[in-house]
Amino acid sequence: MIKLEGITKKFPGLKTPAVDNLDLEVKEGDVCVLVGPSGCGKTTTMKMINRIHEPTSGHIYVNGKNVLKMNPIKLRLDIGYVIQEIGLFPHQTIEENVATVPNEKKWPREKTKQQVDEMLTLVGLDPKIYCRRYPSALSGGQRQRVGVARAMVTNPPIMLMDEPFGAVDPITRARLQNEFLRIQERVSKTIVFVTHDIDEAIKMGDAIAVMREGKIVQYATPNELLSSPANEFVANLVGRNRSIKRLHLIRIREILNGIARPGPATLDMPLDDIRKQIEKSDIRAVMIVDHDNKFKGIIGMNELKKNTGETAADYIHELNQLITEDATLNDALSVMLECGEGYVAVVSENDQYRGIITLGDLLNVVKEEA
Amino acid sequence: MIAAKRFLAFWVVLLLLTGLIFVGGCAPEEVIDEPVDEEPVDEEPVDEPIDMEIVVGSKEYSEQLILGQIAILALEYNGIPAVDETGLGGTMMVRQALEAGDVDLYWEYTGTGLIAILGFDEAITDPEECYAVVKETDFEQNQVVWLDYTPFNNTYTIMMRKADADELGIESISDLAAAINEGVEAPEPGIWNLASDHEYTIRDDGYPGLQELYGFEFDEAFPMDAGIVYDALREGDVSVSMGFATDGRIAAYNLVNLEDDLNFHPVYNCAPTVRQETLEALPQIADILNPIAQALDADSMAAMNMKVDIDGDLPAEVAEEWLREQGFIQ
Amino acid sequence: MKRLIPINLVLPVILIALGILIVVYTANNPTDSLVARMLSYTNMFKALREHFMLMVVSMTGAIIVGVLSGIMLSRPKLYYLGRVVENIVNIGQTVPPLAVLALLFVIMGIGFRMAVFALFLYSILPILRNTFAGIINVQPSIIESAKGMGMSPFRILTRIELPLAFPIIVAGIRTAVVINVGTAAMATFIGGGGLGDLIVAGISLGREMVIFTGAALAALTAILLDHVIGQVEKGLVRWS
Repeated sequence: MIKLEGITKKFPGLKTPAVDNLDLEVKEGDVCVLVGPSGCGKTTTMKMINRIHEPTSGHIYVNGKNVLKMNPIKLRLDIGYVIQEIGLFPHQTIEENVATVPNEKKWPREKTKQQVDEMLTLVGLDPKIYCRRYPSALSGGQRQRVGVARAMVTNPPIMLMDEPFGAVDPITRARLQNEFLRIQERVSKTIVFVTHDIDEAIKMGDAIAVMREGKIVQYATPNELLSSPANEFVANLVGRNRSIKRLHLIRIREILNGIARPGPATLDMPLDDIRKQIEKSDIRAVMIVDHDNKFKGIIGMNELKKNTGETAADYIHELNQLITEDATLNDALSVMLECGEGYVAVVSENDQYRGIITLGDLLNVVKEEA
Repeated sequence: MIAAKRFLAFWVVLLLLTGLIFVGGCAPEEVIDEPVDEEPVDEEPVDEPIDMEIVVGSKEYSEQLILGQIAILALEYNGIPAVDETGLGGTMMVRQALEAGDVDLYWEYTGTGLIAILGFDEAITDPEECYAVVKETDFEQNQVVWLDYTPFNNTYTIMMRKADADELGIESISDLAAAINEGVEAPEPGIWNLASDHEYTIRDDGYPGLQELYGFEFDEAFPMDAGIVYDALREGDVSVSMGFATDGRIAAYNLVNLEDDLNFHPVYNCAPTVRQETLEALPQIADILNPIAQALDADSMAAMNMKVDIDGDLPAEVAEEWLREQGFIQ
Repeated sequence: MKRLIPINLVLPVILIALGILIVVYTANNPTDSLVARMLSYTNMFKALREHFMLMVVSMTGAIIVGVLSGIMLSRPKLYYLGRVVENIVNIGQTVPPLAVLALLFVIMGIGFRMAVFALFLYSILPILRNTFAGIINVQPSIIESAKGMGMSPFRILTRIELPLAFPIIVAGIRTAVVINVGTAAMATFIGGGGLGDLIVAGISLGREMVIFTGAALAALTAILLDHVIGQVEKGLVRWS
């Protein structure tokens, strides 16, 4: 899909080339992450694909076509582009921002409007609320989402993303990453993704190119990278706690079925049954759902001691440690550590109860993998 | 390299602009003399040292600057210390400075004194009579003394380009009025317009009164700075212009004064005006300046004005030269 | 929007009313015959009309030339020339307006057209400088993302750079207008007419009422125009 052959980029006035005779091939539908310390040439490499930078020598092919012989404007219209600062246009509404490429392509207004709404919904922003707002009225995370929506609105087969989640706090960042992966599962774009954060690379990438001084040191799947780093540089980058890093690679959904636990209780369950269930449970608590399996809350031992009512509905209280099933095990671990509890409840996107994951489950996974 | 080029460009531009400002500042109408410290040249006997200074003021145009320098040089030559405050501003500004005591002496014109300062409605066209009225009234009302007046009469004059005047056979303002009333086509710029300073456009003894007495109307008044009316006429921006009779540029630019055959313009002979208390303290001022005033005729004044306006000499140099020629200083 | 209109109009209405009050009062209460002549309705309206003409013609030219040359100099190929011009402009603004007038008189003579030309030259400077600075200072990340999404340089200029620089350009125009109103009063020295006719005649004849009227009308004009342009800007820029 994307192929770089012998690419070299020298900037005027600098002795060493920023990118030095680099070869890279990205398969269709893959997320290829370029990772490395700052100044390693990862951003320059990415920006040569849509010719923001022109290579000094070498060839770049997209879908077999020589990019360097194409009209750069037309080329860019078909490549989604997100940069770290996002670069939303502050004088345009969110709707106008997202409609940038459709307008450049002179799409009919109806089609544009429909696609913009769809895209905003996809990234989790209600078009009715956000279309008329200006970027200055949005939070950092919301701006990142708009940036992604803007890049994807015309459904380009290829996306270039330069630290797209770099400028937000870690919690928002994890959520945006998960959402993005969920979308990617549906749309299967070919993505070149630049980051300096190895954890993000492992989490997001189908293939990871570790770069150093304008060259690729190792190009491999996340698993290979963790199990057999090519040299000391890569090993240092990946770090010593590789087993924990592996938690990045596994989604909660993947292990949930293998864990046998009693199901949740319903709101109208009698007190005695609930007490029995809690006693059987390894977390000394029971999750409560309604008749549609929608998650409602939790009841623990302490609540029952108060002895104030007849059914579960009278004892229920809210639970903070929730996570979606497409989050990684590492995300689950973060939530547990933050809340100081040994378990986390798993729900689907529309709040359907899926189960719970405990610290013990995570330990088992790490043990098996090692 | 680029930095060096930009640096060079910056300074070239800076130099150019400085030059421009300098040229602008030196435009003829803006000549402002520098104070010249003339030491007494000769050991003329001085009775006793004088412990007061005479502040000499003037209006801002060349003739006033020259007259101011003449007074300063003559006073200092005779041992009276003088402070140079020439070029102060318009009539009212200098006059107010005199009345307030900030200025002790400046040259004023009899006609200006009569109408503008003392508020008479009717102009007087006889030099002697005008001087007498002004001298008496100003002393009574304001304790300002008018010393002897000059033979030159720097009255307003109406000018045309000499070539146009000759071609149309216009010699007097009456001829001009007749030509305009008969519908004769105006010379460049094609309309009968009159360049004048702002004062003349408004004053009773200016534009409105002139048209009334001679019975005609210009197509348009064109007020501007008094210093550039001669250039405006020469360049053809106006067909007729007001001027001052003793200005050096009239001859230099081939312009001609139209005769004021109905004696409309009041007389504007010039005389030093002094505060009474100053004159009481130093009565010899009158003895020094009176003979000088009597020697200032129209030719002398026009010649001096021309040297300053056209040749670019300093008023102080021109004043000193004339005083030497006339033997007032050695 | 509806709510804003009356508020926006309060100041202009006050200013215009004040102007009319001054004109009517001075025309009907002259202190003497000279003042009456200078402050006749005909004379005041003539001065006002000339003043407006001086400003409108020179400002129109200055906005067109200033904005266009500011845009040109902000193009990457002319960027260094732009920096040089920026320096020249900064120095140019320190030249007193009277010197510009005197200089132009020496070179080109007198009259309304000359005065307009001088005002035009003088007003270009802040507009050009602000246009240049406004475009140059648009965040590089915004330009890069526009470029990366496939916008052509011309589209980037018209859709991104100019709208973002607009408030700064307008600030330049406001500065120019205020300077212009004041400087136009000096046009009278080279026969350009305008409210300077009143002010200078008032000074040379020692009539404070005439000076005050001329100066007050000029000041009111400056405040009025500054306010109106400010309101127009506010109306057009909703995003900041």
